[in-house]
Amino acid sequence: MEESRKLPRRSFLKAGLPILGMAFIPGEVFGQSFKRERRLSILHTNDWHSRIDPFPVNDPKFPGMGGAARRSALINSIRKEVGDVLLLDAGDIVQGTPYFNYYAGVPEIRLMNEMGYECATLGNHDFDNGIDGLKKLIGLAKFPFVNCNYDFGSTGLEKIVRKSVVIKKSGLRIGIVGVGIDLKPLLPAENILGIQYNHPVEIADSEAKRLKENENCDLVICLSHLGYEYSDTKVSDRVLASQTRHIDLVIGGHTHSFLEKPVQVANLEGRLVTINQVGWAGLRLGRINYHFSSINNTNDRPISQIEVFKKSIAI
Amino acid sequence: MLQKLFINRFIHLIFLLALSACSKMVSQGPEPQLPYEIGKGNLTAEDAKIEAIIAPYREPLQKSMAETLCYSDANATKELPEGSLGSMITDILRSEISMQTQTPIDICFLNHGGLRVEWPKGAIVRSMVFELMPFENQLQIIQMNANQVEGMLKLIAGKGGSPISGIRMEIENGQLKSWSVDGDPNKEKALYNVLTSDYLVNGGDSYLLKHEGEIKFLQGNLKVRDGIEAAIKRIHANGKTLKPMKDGRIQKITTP
Repeated sequence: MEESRKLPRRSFLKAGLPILGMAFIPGEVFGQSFKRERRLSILHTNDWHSRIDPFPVNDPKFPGMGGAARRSALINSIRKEVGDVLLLDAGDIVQGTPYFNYYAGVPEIRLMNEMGYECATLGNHDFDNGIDGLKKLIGLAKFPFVNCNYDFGSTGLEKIVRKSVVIKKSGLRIGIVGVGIDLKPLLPAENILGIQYNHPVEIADSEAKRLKENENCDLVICLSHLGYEYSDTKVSDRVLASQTRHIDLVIGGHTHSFLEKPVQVANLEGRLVTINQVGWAGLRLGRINYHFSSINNTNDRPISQIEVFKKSIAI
Repeated sequence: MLQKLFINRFIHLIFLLALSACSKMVSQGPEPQLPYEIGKGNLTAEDAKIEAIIAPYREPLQKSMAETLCYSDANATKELPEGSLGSMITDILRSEISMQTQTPIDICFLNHGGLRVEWPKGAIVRSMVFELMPFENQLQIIQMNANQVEGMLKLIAGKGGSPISGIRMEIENGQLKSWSVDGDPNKEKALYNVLTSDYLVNGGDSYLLKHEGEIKFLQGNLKVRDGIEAAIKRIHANGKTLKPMKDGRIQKITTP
């Protein structure tokens, strides 16, 4: 997960250079005060729901759409274009096709390993085969699972699910924290025996703060399976984004929301937090590009900038 | 191409100017016109390595999905107030789960929208069971007193009918007019065992089923789909076929 692509060194351009000149210098640094720059492409999915094969050609809604082999080809083509990417998932990997009934999630995790997923959070359906079923899947995964608002007690999950991780990528330190929905109304009690749900907002924010201040992260992403938005006061990605101070990006799931593009919500500091979610079933791949620049010749942490909001991509 | 690059750079310039004036996080930037419409994906290339992982899982699965579980004498259709599919499915589930749990079940209720496809005459293969009930809802047995049963039937009447077994009822202008329980014509039981799904117990499809005492989960949290499969396999094993038909258990009366 180390930097895989060296950024070309360039001399700085003076203000007032002809714009045409700029056109030939991709990712230029403008003005003397800018010292460094970094680029990061985040790709993400949510709510796979065991959709390994494309939908049937006679499906009324998504005829012939999706499919893991195509998802992977698309991810690889983006890697070819931009170099390294950060590939994430926001939970509910399993349940929804007979693959899960027959193979208990094993092929899904093997495919995610092969595709190069780097982190995921837990959705409610990931508990459908109980805690033991989930442990097996986490054991098989070559990427970490994060969640900070479930108290796993002594279920064994406390040893294998991490509150957060730091991934080094493109010379940046990316902190990833995970949050999940209250499982009690969604699952039989025996599936979640010994797991305590905590309200996610303060816990996630304090973990994000730690990632920024102690782990020196340049960007903090929250992988969330709370759901995008509710008509009542139930905690959602929008609530999470607006009630925190240290999260920069929320990659969500659960409500299967096909957001046409990432949404921005002001947080408690008045700073805009980005939220995205790409429906379900691996029908779309989300993509968010960041451009980081350090300012004023200081050695401060680079400030992240959302450079381009690319719409998610239909597969 | 050059023009596009030019515009991108220009926007980038503005963006950086904005940045230099203000060091807070700002959302800026163009939105490239990427293909977006679902169903019109232009990305059909497949990763051969991924395909190679899937294939050994897919083949036995497809074989299993094509397995014939039972035969049906007629098409089973979805209709309101009563359809042959809904009546048949709730009847066979009631009988199967009564047998499995050794519990007399008075009523089996599923929602009309929850049965997703109709079944043809002839071979019923496993994929049809998955298509009929793609959801992972679990069967549950709840206990209802007569008032609670009546409350449920009022909701059903308001929706114009439903798949149900063990009940006869009349709906007049969208209201429940009369009802009886097949196994208890004089409504003498204090409590009725009602087989339904967790989805409906928890308020799905605007049904929030009121009941007494604890919900009974079935062995292994048996799913509705697995219950249906077990029921039709047993029928087949007994040398019988499915006989979908309407028997007039829900009557709709329209008065001027």
